[in-house]
Amino acid sequence: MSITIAVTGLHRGENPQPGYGVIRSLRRHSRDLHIIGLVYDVLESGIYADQGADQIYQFPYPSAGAATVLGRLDYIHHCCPIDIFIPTLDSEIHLLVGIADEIKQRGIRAMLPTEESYQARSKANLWQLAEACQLNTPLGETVTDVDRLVQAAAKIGYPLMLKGQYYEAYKIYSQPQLIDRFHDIVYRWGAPVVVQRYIEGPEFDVVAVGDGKGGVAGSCSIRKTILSEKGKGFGGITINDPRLEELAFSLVKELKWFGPIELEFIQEEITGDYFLLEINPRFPAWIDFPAACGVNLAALVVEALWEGRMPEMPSCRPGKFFLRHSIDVLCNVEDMGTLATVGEWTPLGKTDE
Amino acid sequence: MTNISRLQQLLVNDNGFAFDPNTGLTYNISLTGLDVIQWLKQGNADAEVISLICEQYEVGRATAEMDYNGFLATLHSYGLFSAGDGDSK
Repeated sequence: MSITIAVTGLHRGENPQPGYGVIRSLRRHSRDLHIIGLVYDVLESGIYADQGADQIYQFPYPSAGAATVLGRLDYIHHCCPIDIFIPTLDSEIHLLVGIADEIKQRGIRAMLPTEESYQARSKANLWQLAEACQLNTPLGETVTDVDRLVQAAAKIGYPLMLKGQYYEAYKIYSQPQLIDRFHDIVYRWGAPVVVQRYIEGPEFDVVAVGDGKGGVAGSCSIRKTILSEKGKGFGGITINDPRLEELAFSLVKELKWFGPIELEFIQEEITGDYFLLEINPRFPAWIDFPAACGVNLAALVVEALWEGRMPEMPSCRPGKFFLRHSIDVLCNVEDMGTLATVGEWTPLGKTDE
Repeated sequence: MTNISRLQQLLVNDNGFAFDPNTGLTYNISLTGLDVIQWLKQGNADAEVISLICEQYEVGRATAEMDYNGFLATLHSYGLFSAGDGDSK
């Protein structure tokens, strides 16, 4: 029996989203899947890429509100009944957490954290969480206005990191740059903004799937080997550091996290200590990399939701690495036109030829 | 005691390309360094490694000792040796 899975976040540009990687992972796991791509923009590159979704539907931005999102979900669910929903974007998870019961009532299964878990890992609450788990996190503050911003920066000192509540992080060297970037981030992602002490050192990432009871069903740890200008991991290598794994697992345990989670750390060059940078409530953009190494966490989510079991995953063998590789995707303007006007499109027999 | 647990984990190929699975770092090691790591992994003490360097590379003990200590310092700086390591036996 074919399972229908809806996935969001199909863009693979400068700031790549995880959805296309999730779809590729699912395709590795089983061919008997019907995958629906829910997109916010007709220019999300994964819409037109090979081995992508079987059907595409436009989806309203979270800012449209729960009623609009549920209304659109109902329409899509009526056209093509969805069994499993895997959201992949920070900006949509909070709204979905709030309507998790409504989603469930429609017979759609999703791995979503509780509101409490979701809030506890937010950038604003990171310091309390780190304290509860007895681990380091850079000194920081959440600010909503320029006065508080400047005060916080004076306390922390330059250089520092300035981060949006969902996306974007910048290394800041001076007050004029600080204020400029603050307005820029607030304009794009809204307040609050996080000001954080800058720590020099290599960055590490752990992706995991929490079972909702404090356990970890599967995980993969990497050292980021290439960072883009926006701080995105464009290259990484699998590692096996029990100390890092222990820190990550203690956070999943404290949060009783249910579903996909990405934990970002930096290792202070001088001390060798790990500092928790942030926790994202979804898979990272490099999620298909562990799947290619035999640790298919997207498939694990489907198995857990569909069969009610979480098979134990093997560990990722250290020494596998990925490099992000950009290609140009051929698209037909008629296809984009259909999606833009009708709101849905079925990519039939798509090839890169 | 010399702590070679991190060195034991180091994955090294015949050409001297090494990968530390703990940190994800990679290194290029000279052929001499490769021999030294191999001897240390086999459990040889510092004095024995120095003797092996003298034999293998036909150098005097003072030179071998200086090069060996320099190499250990490099390993230490990469965290492949713990602080306070001394003679292995």
